[in-house]
Amino acid sequence: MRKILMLCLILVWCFTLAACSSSNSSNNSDPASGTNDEKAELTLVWSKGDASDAQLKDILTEFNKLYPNIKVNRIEVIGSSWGDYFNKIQTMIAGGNPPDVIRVAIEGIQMFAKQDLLLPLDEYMAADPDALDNYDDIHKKLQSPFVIDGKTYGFVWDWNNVVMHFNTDKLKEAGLSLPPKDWTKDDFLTYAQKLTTEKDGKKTYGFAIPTYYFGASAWLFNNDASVLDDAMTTSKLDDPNAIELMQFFQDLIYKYKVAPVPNPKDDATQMLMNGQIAMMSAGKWPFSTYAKSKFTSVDVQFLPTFKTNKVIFGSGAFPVLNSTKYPDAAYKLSAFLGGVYSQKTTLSDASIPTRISVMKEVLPKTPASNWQVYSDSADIAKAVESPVQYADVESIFNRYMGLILANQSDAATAMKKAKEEIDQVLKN
Amino acid sequence: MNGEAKMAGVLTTRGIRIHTRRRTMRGYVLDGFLLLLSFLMLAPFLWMISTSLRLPQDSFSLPPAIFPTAFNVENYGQVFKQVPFTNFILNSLEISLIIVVGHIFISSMAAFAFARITFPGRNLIFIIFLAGLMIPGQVTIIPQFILISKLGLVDTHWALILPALINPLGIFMIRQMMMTISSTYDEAAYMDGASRMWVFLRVILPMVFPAVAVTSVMTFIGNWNDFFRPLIFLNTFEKMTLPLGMTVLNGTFGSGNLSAILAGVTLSLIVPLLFYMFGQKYLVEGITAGGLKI
Amino acid sequence: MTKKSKDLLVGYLFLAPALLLFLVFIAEPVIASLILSFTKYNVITPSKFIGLDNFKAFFEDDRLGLVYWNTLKFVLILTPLHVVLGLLLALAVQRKIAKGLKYFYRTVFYFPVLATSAAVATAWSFMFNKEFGILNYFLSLFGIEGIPWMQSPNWVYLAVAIYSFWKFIGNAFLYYFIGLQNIPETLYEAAEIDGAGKLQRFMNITLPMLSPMLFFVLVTTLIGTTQIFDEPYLITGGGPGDASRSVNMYIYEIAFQKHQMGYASTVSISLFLAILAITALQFGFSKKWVSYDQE
Repeated sequence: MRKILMLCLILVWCFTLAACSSSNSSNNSDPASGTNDEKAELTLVWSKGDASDAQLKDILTEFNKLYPNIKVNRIEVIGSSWGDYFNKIQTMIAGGNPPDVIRVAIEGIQMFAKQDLLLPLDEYMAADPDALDNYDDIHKKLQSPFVIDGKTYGFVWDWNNVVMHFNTDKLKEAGLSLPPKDWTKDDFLTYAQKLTTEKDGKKTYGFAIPTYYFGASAWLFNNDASVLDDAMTTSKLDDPNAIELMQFFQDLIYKYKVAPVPNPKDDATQMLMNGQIAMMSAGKWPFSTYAKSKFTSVDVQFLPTFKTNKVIFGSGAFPVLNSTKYPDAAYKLSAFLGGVYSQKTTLSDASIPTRISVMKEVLPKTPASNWQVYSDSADIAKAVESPVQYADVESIFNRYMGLILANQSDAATAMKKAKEEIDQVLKN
Repeated sequence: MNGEAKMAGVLTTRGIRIHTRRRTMRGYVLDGFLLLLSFLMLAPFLWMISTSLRLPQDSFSLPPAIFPTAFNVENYGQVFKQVPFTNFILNSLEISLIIVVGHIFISSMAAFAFARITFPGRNLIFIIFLAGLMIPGQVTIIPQFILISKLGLVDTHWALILPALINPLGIFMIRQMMMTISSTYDEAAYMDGASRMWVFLRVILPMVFPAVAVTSVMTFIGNWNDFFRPLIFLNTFEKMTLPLGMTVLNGTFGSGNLSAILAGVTLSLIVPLLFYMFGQKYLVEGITAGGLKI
Repeated sequence: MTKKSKDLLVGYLFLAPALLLFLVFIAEPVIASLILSFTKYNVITPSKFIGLDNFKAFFEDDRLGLVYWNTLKFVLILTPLHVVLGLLLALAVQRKIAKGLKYFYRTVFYFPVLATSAAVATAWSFMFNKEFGILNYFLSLFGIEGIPWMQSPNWVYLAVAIYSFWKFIGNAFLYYFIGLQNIPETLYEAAEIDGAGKLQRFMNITLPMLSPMLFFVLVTTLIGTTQIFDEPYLITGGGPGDASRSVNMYIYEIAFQKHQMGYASTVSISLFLAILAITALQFGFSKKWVSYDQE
């Protein structure tokens, strides 16, 4: 019997020791030494929402034709917002098993780069320019967020703006047609009021307020306001324009009664398809859900002009973590995932491609008559504000916006408090 | 409430009813109330199941039809298509069962040492264990995370299993029951030349079965439903437990419709239902045997 | 080997796995927490000793007062809810009703305890939807319109209480139910012969005999609600604003979203001390009213 006990103890110890020794790693390799038959195994963080199993398999098959010995394993990280997603990846890095290549949107690139977690890719680009597959095809402006202090951290893959989505069945029922490009705040309110109906116990609201940072930022931009100043060192939420817009959002719910009160589990895309709402503001990403649900009664238009009309943009890429054991292989994967083949495979009905050639080919196939709003805005768009402290800023902003939309605070008080908290975070 | 006390009085411990069928007004009111409450307790399940069979666009229709308009079984297919739902269930089962077995083995051995063997330091260690009972999970979770990340076990099931193997409450409950067993049993066995292990496995452990059973059931329920630890330790889809997986099904960057989500919720009830059918007897027996005195 | 030293060896061998796990996963973390609370540590970069800075931050943290107040509200609402309503339910079921019906009630009240928590919480959060939720629809049939379950800092507590009742009342109910069944019938018969009234019998027999179970339910509910996380996290998201954010949710945010392990440890130690004080009080008072001599 003592043998059994000793065995237990020995097992526990062996196990602990084995676990300890497995966490060592070395990561020195010369960028110039990379050849196409280098053996490597890479972990990629990319969600199935962006690329299904079949799509990824397709891309990797093509990738392996070029580099047969690079094996790629996908893992998914699920977050309730971009901030949450980045935090979870950081928890993963802290947890001692960092991935090699990660899908990062503009919102998080500063956060990762400035914490010195990413590998600058310029050396590798110089050593192996072919992997880039015509760098000039990449839209310069959309690529710019991934070049920080002259160092390149990734190659832009997708981008999104924020436009208005309409349920065209609801438009028809209300006797409305798609508004013109230059529609105004008053036009928007009229639309929202006409589209708010109740029939046979089925309630439809004119509009769902975007309760997430990117969506709300787009509206702030149009009211000549923003969450942060240009240098991203202080918050501008106490600016009268910002307060005015937030108050307008609150009024849409409680004064005009044309928008439903946001609930924690709301999904505006589903609500638009169900006919619970008639308008919502989003990028191009809902089109993949529309396609999956075979929903075609949809059209798009620019957001209404308030004080001005600025289009927002956010783009995404696949940076390489500097802890990788195979930097050269990881560079090749990063470049390939941002390349033409990858974009053609994954961006047919989801986000907007960032390669000019792919954009021209894919966008006209968008199942919405006014698809040009996606191709027309890349050149004029302004990037979503994403400081190093993005995750904190987003969570503070969301919390106070939640208070306003729950009618627990007027916009001025909440936005002033939000500014104070954000300023505190930006100082650190 | 004194009325009920009297009625409790006409019940014997063995559950044999004495036939004094004198119904009072209050009795009928209580019956009605209990039936209404039972309906309210069941109503959410009815809604979940019936909505899970509806077409997504009908999922918000009010008034809700009690019976689905179209038996749209497709929603259930969606659950398996969108997320590795089978993995979620198997992971949860695997983790919960390993913890139950390991925890019971480790706890009952420790309980045996505390209850049936005399050695120096025993009482001191027992008191330290009892103090451990007072330490809430969130005090230990941060250092545990750091420890587990240094061991390289983040995003493995070991991160959930290892810390859950030790719970002073289980040791305590089993030890309390072992204390009530007369020492003549062990002594007789030792006289016959039995080893400690034999006495533990063959004599004492079977006699504390109710305490072991109730500890097992409570451990299983606790770990099956655990959400906090998987939230912190697991990242990879395929490794997630059912509770964590459910939040993924609920949509992350805007996906998943209510009907499909509720199909997932309905599926998540299968294991608990089976567990109730087989486990509730032991739970009731264990609590009845008095394993809960603290 | 003498019997004594053999007992020593065997005793520790039996204890070894539990002791090892206890040291690694409970004792060491408690000490580590204390040390961490004096450091700045984000797990990725090496930790830095910063003296009392975390404790200074603790007293200057504007959000902390609210999350502690919220947690206290959860405790004050949910503890009586389970301790008292669970007892009333058990008393109502523990009457002379058909055995099958009793089994039915027990199943109906207890099953939600087992139902996968995050799954049913998700379903409930849809039921609490203000405009499209089924709960507000049924209430509207009784003339109650549009309750802002998730939007009002007050209603949000009722929402959590309703969910908590539905999900966990079975726990308290089952303990009481079994406790009641264990009270020997003869005690009541003897009291009746002595001419004790209903109230007297309840106060003198039922309550004292049930006191260990009452105490168990009270202590576990109290400790559980002080550490409440799942319910607000899954149903209310802590909102509106911070109105339903518990201390534990806040600790999660600091530790695993902001990666400030040092400060998170400071806050968790404060909650630990609060729980310790409550538990100590409980055990102190328990001597006055809990009687274990029922056999």
